[in-house]
Amino acid sequence: MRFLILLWLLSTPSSAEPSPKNGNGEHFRIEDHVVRIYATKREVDQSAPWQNEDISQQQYLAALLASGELLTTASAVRDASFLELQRFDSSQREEVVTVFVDYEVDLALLRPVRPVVLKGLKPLAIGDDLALDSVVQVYKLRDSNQLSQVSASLQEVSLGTPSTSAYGLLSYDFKTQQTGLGNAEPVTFAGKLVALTTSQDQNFLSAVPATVMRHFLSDNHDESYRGFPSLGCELSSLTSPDTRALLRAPQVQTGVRVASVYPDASATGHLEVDDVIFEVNGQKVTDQGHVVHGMWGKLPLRFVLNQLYGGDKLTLKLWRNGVERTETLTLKRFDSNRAPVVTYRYGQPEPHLIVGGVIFQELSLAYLRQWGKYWRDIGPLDLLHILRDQNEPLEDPSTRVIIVSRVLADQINRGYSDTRHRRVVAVNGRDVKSMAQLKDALTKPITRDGKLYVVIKLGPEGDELILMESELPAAHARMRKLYEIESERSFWTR
Amino acid sequence: MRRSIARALVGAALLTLAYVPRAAAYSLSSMRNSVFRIQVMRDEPSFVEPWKRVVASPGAGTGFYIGDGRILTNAHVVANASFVTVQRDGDATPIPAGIKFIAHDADLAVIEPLEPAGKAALNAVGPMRLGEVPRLRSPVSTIGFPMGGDQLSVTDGIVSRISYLGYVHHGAAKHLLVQVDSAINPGNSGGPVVQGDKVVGVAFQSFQQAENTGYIIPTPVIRRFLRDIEDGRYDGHPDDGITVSDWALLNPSTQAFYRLSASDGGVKVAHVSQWASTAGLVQPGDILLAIDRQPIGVDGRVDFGGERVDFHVLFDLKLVGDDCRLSILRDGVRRDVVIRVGPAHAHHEAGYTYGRHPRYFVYGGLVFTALSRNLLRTWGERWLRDAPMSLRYLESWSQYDPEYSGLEQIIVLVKRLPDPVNAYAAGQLYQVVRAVDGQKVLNIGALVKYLEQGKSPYAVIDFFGSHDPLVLSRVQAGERKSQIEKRYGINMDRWLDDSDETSLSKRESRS
Repeated sequence: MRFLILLWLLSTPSSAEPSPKNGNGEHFRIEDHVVRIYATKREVDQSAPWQNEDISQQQYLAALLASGELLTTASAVRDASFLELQRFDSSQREEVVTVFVDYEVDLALLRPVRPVVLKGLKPLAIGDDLALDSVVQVYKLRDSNQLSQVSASLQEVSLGTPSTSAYGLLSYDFKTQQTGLGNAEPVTFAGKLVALTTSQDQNFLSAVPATVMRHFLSDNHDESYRGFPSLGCELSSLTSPDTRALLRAPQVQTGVRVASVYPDASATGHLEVDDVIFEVNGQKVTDQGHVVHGMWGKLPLRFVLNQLYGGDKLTLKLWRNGVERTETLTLKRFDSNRAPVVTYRYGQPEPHLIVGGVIFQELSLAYLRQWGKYWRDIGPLDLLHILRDQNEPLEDPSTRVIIVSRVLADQINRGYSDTRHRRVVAVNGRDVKSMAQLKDALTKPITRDGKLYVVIKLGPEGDELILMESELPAAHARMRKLYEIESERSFWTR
Repeated sequence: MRRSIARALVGAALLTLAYVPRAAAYSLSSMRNSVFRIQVMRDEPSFVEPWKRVVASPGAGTGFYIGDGRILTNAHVVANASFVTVQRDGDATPIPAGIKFIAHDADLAVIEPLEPAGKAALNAVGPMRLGEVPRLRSPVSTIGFPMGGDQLSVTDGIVSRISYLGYVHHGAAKHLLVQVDSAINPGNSGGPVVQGDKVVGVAFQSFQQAENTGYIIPTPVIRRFLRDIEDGRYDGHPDDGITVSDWALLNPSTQAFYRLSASDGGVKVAHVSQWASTAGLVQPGDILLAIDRQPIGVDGRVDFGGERVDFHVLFDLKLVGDDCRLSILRDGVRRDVVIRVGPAHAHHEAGYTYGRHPRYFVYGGLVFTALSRNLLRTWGERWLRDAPMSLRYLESWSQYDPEYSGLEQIIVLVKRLPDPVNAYAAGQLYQVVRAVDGQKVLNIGALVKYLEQGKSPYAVIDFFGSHDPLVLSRVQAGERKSQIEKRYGINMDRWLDDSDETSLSKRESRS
């Protein structure tokens, strides 16, 4: 017990700011500005995609905004089938609904079904950008209906990837002694909201900064949402004088090499491989692809994109074959799912199709995460290898990696029931790169001796699964009963 | 279907030390004179700094006299040995010995005393005779020199399984083996396993996770080794290169599709390695019905002396130059294909290699080497999860991936020896070379040729899955060469000699 007390003393910095007052000179109490969110979640069962995993309930925080909406992280609402709020001065729970969510930047807006429940609560203003080493307050949920205040200091500002997407997004990394954070806890400085926490790794707490929140909040929250753009190319450092000489780029420490240009992206038609970008919207770009921020120092060039909207113009200065030129391009909104492996599909039904017990699915990160925390080390190598090119968007955005996840054992698939986690190469002799292509290929069975067969070719070795088409309806009827699969749409029919 | 051999072997361990004794039911007095304790000093090549050798370490095992002045033991007992001695139970002094033949794929080796006196002593001993594959559930005795004492010891056990499984020493090779349920402790690899007065196998590996599970190399594999070396060189086990979908023909729809009946059996070919002697003769989609007129069941097995074993065993036991008859159903027509068995192609090293330098080349302080199991093993016991994903992937799947087809070796940038010439090359570590100056690199020789003979002032090295090539000034690489070699103690900037097993055995027999 004494040990715990000592730790507590140590973890409260003596330099912590005194409790601020709000504009009216009243004492600042976080409980007046935030609510507890209960999220009832049902994730898709990746091994049986027609059903969900067991129900789980998780708690998060959401901050009241001047608009009367509540701001929280997208992680808080992902896969949620029901959301409730609870004020800290009440034991009542009230239903809330998601107004708008952007998984790319891990933010969501909520609204109570009965707006009156927020009466008496005070909006939390969004604060300014934080200087490095600023000491902030983080509010951790206690099991009792209370929040405890924890201090943390801003250690680093970097570009990371939110857990909900693949977007390169500005992130605050705070240092704190407290553990168990990262569930959308509000971070305040001088009584204003400066960040929302998203994850914690030991003493490091990551959070979405105020500048990203302002961007998200000032956008339209409907179909005209412009969102966060990307440049649509891969960049590589140009520190090597040999590479600079080869590209005929001046031997200075500015300019980064364009390593590849993605199809149908912002940069397409404007940039070429081996272009050297040295200025973006008037900001100098270093040879390692950084721009310099007044408060935070060097940040990757993608940071500039964080501050712009889809549809905005971007002006680049570059050297191409040693000749300077200017390119102005129109930015496109970033889409994490324009990649070989599906990045996220929160709340959406999992596309799948059962053909004679053979379960077809789209390869997704959620699928690979079935291998647990160390999925990148122990998952199936041939599927993990596909992630090598994950950052390169596909020419055809509907292209997916189709896999056979497993086989529901039945007499029709005798001899094949051990098949698991295999990439599909072709069905009935046709390439299969989407569920639509799969369904189309299934309508063209192979005829032999007057009978129709479905022939499924699997990678990487080229094994084939062969099923007699006329037997499928009876087999599907048996499986529907045996495996209690209610969804008729799960089964393929002509 | 293909299973990762490496994964299946994770739990298996080599018995470099001991079997535990129990009295045998018959006289061992004559046999004990034929069993030897083998002691070795080893030094191994470094796979990350390939010009170096790792400091010597001692090891011990067992061997037995097979006549003609030869002692048979496991390859892993004497692999990488710089000094070998043999000592009979009860004899006072160890006799220096040399390696005559070594078969890393079959984990067998023949050693001989180096001095005439040692040879003379052997002649006074009766050789042990080879028997047949022991029957299931029959008793066997394992003779060896376990740790913890100097005397010979004997363990009794029962034959529990006859299978086709991985040999741990090689890492990627599978051969016939026999499982015995006797208590096995680390110790006497290479010891004879006897039934009556005949040797029925050589003790060689155990299963770490299971108690009382030992494996022995059965006599068909031993006899194959002895026949292989009759001409004075070891050619090795052939590889049929055929991946099959076993159980596929258990499926009634598949049987109907191929117009087969349930009694026909057979397995379907999924893939044929471009390097195998079956390439071009056997095709994906073929149904293999029989091998050397032995019918293959839907489980992929054939009858082998009353037991059912994987059909690959029959090909695996052949010598280079033998014929193998495969009965195939292709496009509805049954045909026989006769394959002239060729040597296993030394494209990328599938298993561990011993006693020779890794293929490598140092250019501009960058160390390039061919991907091998030994290289992956430098990531430690848990290399299957700790080694870089791309290298683990290539080790298992490169032969099936069209992006890598045609590659004879997979060339990895394995180390940067820091120098101004390569100051900007840190980002490409552990990547696989695709091309130099736009020319595809199929093996280490091509890498050397393109780097050294290229005419442009800059060598541009492209890597698989990367848009970030490495650019090196050829002039600088040349100017800095001697400096780099001096600073890092490199006495040899390359080793390109590939797959010359004879030079390997010469080197080892000299040592």
